[in-house]
Order: sequence, then structure tokens, then C-alpha cells
Amino acid sequence: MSKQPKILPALSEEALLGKSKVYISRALAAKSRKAMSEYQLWASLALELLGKSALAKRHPCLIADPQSYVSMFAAAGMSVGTDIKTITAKTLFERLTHVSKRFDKKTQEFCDSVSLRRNAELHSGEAPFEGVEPSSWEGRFWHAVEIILEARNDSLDQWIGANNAKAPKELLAEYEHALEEAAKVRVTRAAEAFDALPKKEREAARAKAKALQSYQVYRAFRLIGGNVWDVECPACKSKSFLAGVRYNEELSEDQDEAEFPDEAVDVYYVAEEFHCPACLLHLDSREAIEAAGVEVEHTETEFRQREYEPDYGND
Amino acid sequence: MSKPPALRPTVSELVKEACEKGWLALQSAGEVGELSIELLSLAREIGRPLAGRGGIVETLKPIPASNAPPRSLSIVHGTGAFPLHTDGAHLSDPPRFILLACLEPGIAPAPTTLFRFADIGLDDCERSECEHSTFLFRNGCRSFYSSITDRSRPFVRFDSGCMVPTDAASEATLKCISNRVGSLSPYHFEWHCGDILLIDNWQALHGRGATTNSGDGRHLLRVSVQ
Repeated sequence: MSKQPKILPALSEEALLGKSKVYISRALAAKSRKAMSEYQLWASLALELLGKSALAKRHPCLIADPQSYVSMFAAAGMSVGTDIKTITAKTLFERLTHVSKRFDKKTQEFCDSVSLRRNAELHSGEAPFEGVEPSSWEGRFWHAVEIILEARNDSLDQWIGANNAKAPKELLAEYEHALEEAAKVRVTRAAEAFDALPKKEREAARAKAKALQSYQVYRAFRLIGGNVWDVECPACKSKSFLAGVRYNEELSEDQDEAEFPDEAVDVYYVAEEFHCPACLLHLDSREAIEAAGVEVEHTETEFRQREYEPDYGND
Repeated sequence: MSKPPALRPTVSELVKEACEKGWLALQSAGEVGELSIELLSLAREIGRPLAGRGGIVETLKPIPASNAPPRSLSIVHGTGAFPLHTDGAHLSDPPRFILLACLEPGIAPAPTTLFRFADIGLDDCERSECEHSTFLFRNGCRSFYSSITDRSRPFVRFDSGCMVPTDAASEATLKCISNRVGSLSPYHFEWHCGDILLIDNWQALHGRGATTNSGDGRHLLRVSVQ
């Protein structure tokens, strides 16, 4: 087949990864000097470069600015100019949701907020990094980093070295533990509050929840434009609902149920929010939902009118 | 003094031989019941196994036209002979190699027919037509236009099951090449249990020979390799 084009450093996943390592190293050095504002600045830059390296690893075109022909040609391995631009941080974090199921809306929102603070730091008179409590962002930062590294088939050890990785791993473990415990506490509290209700009220709440359809509970969720499906509540065992985003879709292997001119398509969703209309338990992240013991992945088979004839096969 | 054990060819040596000749016949080293595992293992040593419609290790059995998938060679030819073709002509990147293995040859075994495209003996004009004639390679929403051969790529695309001429010239080319291929005396590979056939899919055409009993009981396995 044709040779792989040579990718310029601006869009090279290797170069982006290398630079992200330099920046996170500077971040950790700043932290050791207790220069916390500088720590956050270098960390925010490292996060964006690491994210871009994850996309570029799939293909450099995913980070090339589509408005810049020089950048698009560079993504194709052709140098037609020197002004190579990459996508904005906002676009980067949106695209990462398609590269890893774990990079959910909450993680995306956190990364967006980091990048906004970085922009305010660099381009305005504000001091957005001063006085920020490390506990409010460090755990989430390493959590986002770990998700992006996993999407690259890399690890914290490979990114910052085993020695340097010890402290971040502890922070990450603490953050994930706190997330899980918080979710479990919310489930327990919701279950206790529900059990404390008179039996008649409990039965009425369950019956009301059972009668609800997915389309009736959209307003209970912050997530807009997602899909809603039902599931058993981990707290009160009533009919409850998950809202999630479409991750992928493909033609079903089994087309037996599809009648011409329709075809069966499997659509894959990942849950982002949970809501129980009976006990009012509400969980607002994929991790919290998983910690509560609820399956986050969901597949629905849709029947769509076939636009094209079936695929050909050597059989 | 005892003789040293015979050196077994390495996988790269086998691949090299298959590329030189167009195909290479091998014999399974294990039990027929583990042929699927052996075939997949060999495919992984050669390259990257590709999933087809039937999964990574596909089952090939003669299918009556009435039961065949709507877009396939079987719906056209049923349990009869298949014309010489390359696999994956309908894909942008056809598989480099095809590995076939025999679980059961069947009551009246149907051979696999083989012929190297370069040995068809096309004249300069016909070779030029193979490069310039454009066909629609039909594959549902992934259909595309291409030619039988092209100097910028190392493989041949040829499968009358999915090639549609786009004009009178390409229609004439397809007819000419199909007639030439149809008049060939291809090599017939007669299957026995445990036989493995490594085909260089970029340069060799393969098909299914005719048989008296519609290939009843014939059961081959296939892994496509990139």
C-alpha cells in the first residue's frame, strides 16, 4: 500500500505527547516549590496537549483547524505553509467524548473549565488560579488525565515516570474513592428515606414510577438531546431512568427481524445521569452511576428505512 | 550418528513462497477439531486477521440461491461453481492473503480453482483496458468507482459479483476479461480434511470448481488477513 505520509511536529501525536510530558514535568516542579498558581497553569497546558496527542494518534486531521488549508494539508503530510493551526480546547474536549466512553460530559465540562481558567490567566488581568483549593481540582485533573492516557493505551507511569506517578495515583485513588463513596452514600440515604415512608406511600410511588414512560421524564435530566431508558433503582428497586449519549452505531448482525425496506441498526449509548421518580435519587455522572451498581452501557435496535441496497459479501 | 531434524519453514518463508507462486498448500499440524484455532494463529503470524460477514474465522458452505444473502456470489451461482475472483474487491483495501482450511471436503468434493492474474496472458491493449476501464464496485452505501488494475496500487480487483461496467468500453473490458478467465484451465486444489491453502489475494484469482453433488457436506473455514 502507499507509504505513510510524514506528519509535521505541529500535528504529530509523538511531538504533542513529548511536549505534554515537558509541561507536566514543569507543573510538578512548580508544585514541589509550592508555586500552586504556576502548577495549575502548566497542568492546564499539559492537559490540552495530552488530549490533542490522543486525537492525533487516531489521525492528525482530528486536531487540524478545518478553516486552515495549510493545517489540513499538513495533516495529510504535505507542507504548503508554516502557519499550522490546531483546534480549540473546546472542540478538543468535545471530540474526546467520541474516543473514550469514560470521557463523559462531566469530565468534558471540567476540562473546559480548566481551559477557560487558563485563557483568563494568559489573556486577561484576572488571577484565576490564585487561591484555588487543590482538593477542588487535583483529583478531577488526574482523573481526566488517566482517562485520556487510557484512550492512548498509555499509563501515568509512562507519562510522568513511576516515581512522579506515586502522588498523582494517590490523589486519583482518593478522588475515585470519594466519588464512589459519595454515590453509595446517596443511594443508602435515598433507600433509607424511602423505607421510612408509610407502606401505602411507597407502593403509590412505585406504581406511579412504573407507569412512567421514557419520554415523560426528559425534564428530570440536565442532559439535553440524549436518550432515556429505564432501569431498576438501586435504592428503592422502583422503575427508574438513565439519560445518556449516543456513542456509536452499526448495522445489526442479525437482520432477521427487519422487514424490507427496513434495516436493523444497533445504537450504543452510555449513561450520564440517573433519576428515580419514586425515591428521587439523582446521580449526575457515569462514575457515580457505576459506583451505584447500575449498568451504564445500553444498546437499542432501531429499524430504519434502508437508503441503500445491502452490502456485498464473498459468500 | 542420528540425522538432524528437518528444518521447518518459517511463516515468512511460507508467505514468500505463496507470493511467488500465487498460493501455497499446507497441512494442519493438529487435530481437525482445533483447525479453527490453528488457522487463526497462523493468520496472526502472517498479519492482521480481518472480520468478514461471518466473523474472523468464517464458515464457508455451499448455500442454495434461495437461502443466500441478497448481495453475494451464492445468490447468483447457488451451490454451483463460482467464477474466478479476488476476495474483497468491493473493499477499499482488499485483504492481502486468504487462508482457507478444510474441515470436511463433502460427499463429492468441489475443488478450489486458482489462477494468477499475471498468467492470464493479456496483451498490451487488454492490460491498458484493465487500468483505464472504470467499474462501479457495488457494496451498499460503501460503493465506489475503480479499475481492475492500477499502477498506484499493488493489487488486482476482480469480482463479477460486484463489478458493474460504467460505459460501453468497460462493458467490453469486463466481457473480454471474463471470457479470458472463463476459458482458462485453472489449477484445481482438491480438498482433504486438514488441508490449508494460503492464497495471495492481491495477485491470484480463486473460485469454486463444479461438482456433481452441489458440494453437499463441504465445510471450509476462511480467515482474511491484511
